[in-house]
Amino acid sequence: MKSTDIEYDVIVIGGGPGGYVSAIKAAQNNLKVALVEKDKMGGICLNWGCIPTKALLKSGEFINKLHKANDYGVVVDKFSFDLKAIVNRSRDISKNLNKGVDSLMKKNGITIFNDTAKIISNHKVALSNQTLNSKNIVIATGSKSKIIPGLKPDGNIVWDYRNAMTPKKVPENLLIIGAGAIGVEFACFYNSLGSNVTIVENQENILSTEDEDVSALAKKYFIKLGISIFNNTKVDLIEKAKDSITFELTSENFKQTKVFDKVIMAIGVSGNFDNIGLETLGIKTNHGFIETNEFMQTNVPHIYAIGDVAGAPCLAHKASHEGVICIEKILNKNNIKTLNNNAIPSCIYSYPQIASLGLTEKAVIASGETYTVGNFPFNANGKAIASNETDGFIKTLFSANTGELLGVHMIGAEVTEMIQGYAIGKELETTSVELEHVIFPHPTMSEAMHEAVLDASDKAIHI
Amino acid sequence: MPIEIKLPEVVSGFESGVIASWCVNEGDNIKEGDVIFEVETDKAVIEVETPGAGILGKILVDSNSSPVAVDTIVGLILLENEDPSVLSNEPVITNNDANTPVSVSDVKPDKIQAVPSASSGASRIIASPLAKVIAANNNINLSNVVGTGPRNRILKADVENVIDNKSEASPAIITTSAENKPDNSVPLDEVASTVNAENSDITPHTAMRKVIASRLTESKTTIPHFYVSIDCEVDNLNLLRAEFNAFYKDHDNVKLTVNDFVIKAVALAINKHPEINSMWLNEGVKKNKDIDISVAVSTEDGLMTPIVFNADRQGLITLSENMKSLVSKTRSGKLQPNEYQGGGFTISNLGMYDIDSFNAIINPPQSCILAVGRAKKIPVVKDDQIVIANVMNCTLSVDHRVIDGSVAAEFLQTFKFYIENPKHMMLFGGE
Repeated sequence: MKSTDIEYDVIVIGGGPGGYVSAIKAAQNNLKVALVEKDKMGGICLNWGCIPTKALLKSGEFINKLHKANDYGVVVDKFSFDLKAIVNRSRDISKNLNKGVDSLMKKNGITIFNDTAKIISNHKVALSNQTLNSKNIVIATGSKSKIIPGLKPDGNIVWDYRNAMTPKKVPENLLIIGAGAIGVEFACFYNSLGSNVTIVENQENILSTEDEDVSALAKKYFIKLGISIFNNTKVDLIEKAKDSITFELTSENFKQTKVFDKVIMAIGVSGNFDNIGLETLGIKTNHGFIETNEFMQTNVPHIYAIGDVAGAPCLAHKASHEGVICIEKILNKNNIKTLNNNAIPSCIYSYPQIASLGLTEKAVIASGETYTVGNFPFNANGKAIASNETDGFIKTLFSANTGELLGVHMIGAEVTEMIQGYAIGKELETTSVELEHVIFPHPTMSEAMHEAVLDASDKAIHI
Repeated sequence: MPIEIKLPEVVSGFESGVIASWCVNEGDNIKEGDVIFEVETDKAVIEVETPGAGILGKILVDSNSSPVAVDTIVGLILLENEDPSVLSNEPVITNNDANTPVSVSDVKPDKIQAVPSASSGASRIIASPLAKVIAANNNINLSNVVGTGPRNRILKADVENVIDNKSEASPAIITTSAENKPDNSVPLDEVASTVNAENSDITPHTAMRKVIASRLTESKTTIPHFYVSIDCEVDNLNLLRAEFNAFYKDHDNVKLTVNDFVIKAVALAINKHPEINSMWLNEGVKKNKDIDISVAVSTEDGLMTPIVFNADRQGLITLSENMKSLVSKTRSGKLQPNEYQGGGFTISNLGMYDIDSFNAIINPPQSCILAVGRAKKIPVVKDDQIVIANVMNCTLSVDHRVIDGSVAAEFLQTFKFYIENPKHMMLFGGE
């Protein structure tokens, strides 16, 4: 039987953490599924995003630790690193996981087409040489980096994220435009390798979506690491030479010309939907992303959009969750739990790490809710002191009327591994009262989570 | 694929219910239009027709098991020539599930997903801590809240829904008083103190009982009631009633009751005093156009109020026949929602229990309820002579927000006139 004669229940376009999860979910429910991926399974996240950058950052963290070996009583007279080995390690990890996703697809009987896809009707998807029929179509094509006009990545001086993840040599003077999560992660990594890193951000604060207290402290720590940070600053390209690039940095108080040998753009992403047929079908978009309802349905029946392409926050875990929601809708399930944007944790793997959930204090104030704030610094936590990881704090925000956990903001070592505790509490609609009664194990850094809850009602013990 | 039988939204706003009985057995042939099961809502038992023809392959939710949510698949219909083996993997909810506590380890996860069985009436209320606090802050009784979380756990959103609905109906009930500050210990404990399942003396609330409880509490605590009472002589009425019933004695269905006359008299009195037939709403007072009279009918499970629509336009025989049919439907649990939802005025008659007079609680959003006592012989003074008359006391409970005392009094005067001069009733109505 030719594949053109088959009618699939679902065709998923894109094999990232949104697409492949929805394909598996559909297959688990006995739907006939095909997935079209033009590149490698796993998408940006697995191949060129979350995972390989975490591998690089782990190497960078190791280097930073070695610099502090003396603090732990360990004498390391001399050490060096092998950039090629660091990069290879990162690539190998991606390859490995990539194979894992391939085998998951096979195991679930999902037909993979390594091809580009164009939607030609709400039941037909055209590949290069054939047309597939399907009852439903899920667009999971992810996002692409925004580019500053006139500053097209060239792989040499102007790097895209792939170049930035596969450096041949350590840049001497590196400019990073944009101080969001991606920008600060690259800044921390290259700082650990010894680059002179400059971050320029045109907004008032770095990490502008984070709570202002976190953002302010993060800036302090980054500067301490030796990273130059210019916020409220504009960059203009002055000259691009063979081995260098010159920018003018302008803010209210100063104007400065600086020369760099590499530049990374990290000014955000937009939906990746060029040439997939949105216009022909009249699928609505809004500010660079596809519009959907809470069940991930676009305005065209039987066409769904999930993950980055369906809008911010552009996070893999959000994409996977939406992948499940859209399949449940296709299965016409009851009581589908739709996404609550305030319950999506966000993690940044800078040095130190940053993790958050729910509303910032500014957003709580804007909502008009009366609230209480808890705050606990890691330098008052036994395990943090024992580990020499006293940087950072945890901040909690609760509704004064109901005790609802409105937001939590963490900066410090391994906070990305701790935030899920609050996420579970939030999903279960736990209030401050129950969180106060939770027994946290001693000695752990997570005790600071408890103290930050207690502090919100002025009951903190160790401060 | 077998046809899925889903629990339909039998009444608008219906969220979950109990399957009262299956009208067909597994293996029975089903034709289009056949009634296949009856579902019990908070007020009535409603028949449900088949979604398609075939053979009833499997019943997934037994009758009288715990309530299931709308759209739950309760059974499967095999199409012609379909292999019954497709049914074997479906989890079944039996009525044992409703009563026997299931230990957590026995619960298969797929079962929970397939049929979100509601917490059975007797077990503890499952609600998130946040939902409990919000409920306590807003005086919401959690036993009246339908949970939409896993295993029908009550979530913040569910309580907020109830608050939103309440604020549309009556804003007064949700005003938070100073003592409801979030001192979590007190209200939380109150909320958490639910029916102790081990205490066999406690009968769990039926859905109907809960509705009665919440509506009447809302009425008595938020509506400023006042009462006006009047004595009506019913000797003329009794004579006329006897005359009519004697004349029509060979007609099976004609047997006029005192209550039929009371309904008619109320309807005609409302016609003269339309302010009585109005409702207090947030935005203003709503005047009802039609004169639809709710009549309280007791059943084993509690009070129901079927409606005589356009009572002012019905002749006494029609009115009487309609009322008999409504009473029998009510008592057999067959009353349809459109037969009890609405109404602009309620009559409650306890005369048959030898009650002389009583005060009734207004049936919101209506503004008046008439409490009718028995007719009894008492000495009355007429032309300075003491004579014996049959006197019936009627007490009107009135929502003072909508209606003032004089209006209520005038209405009762007119009502009394019709009861005492029943022939005048033929001058009106039917037009």
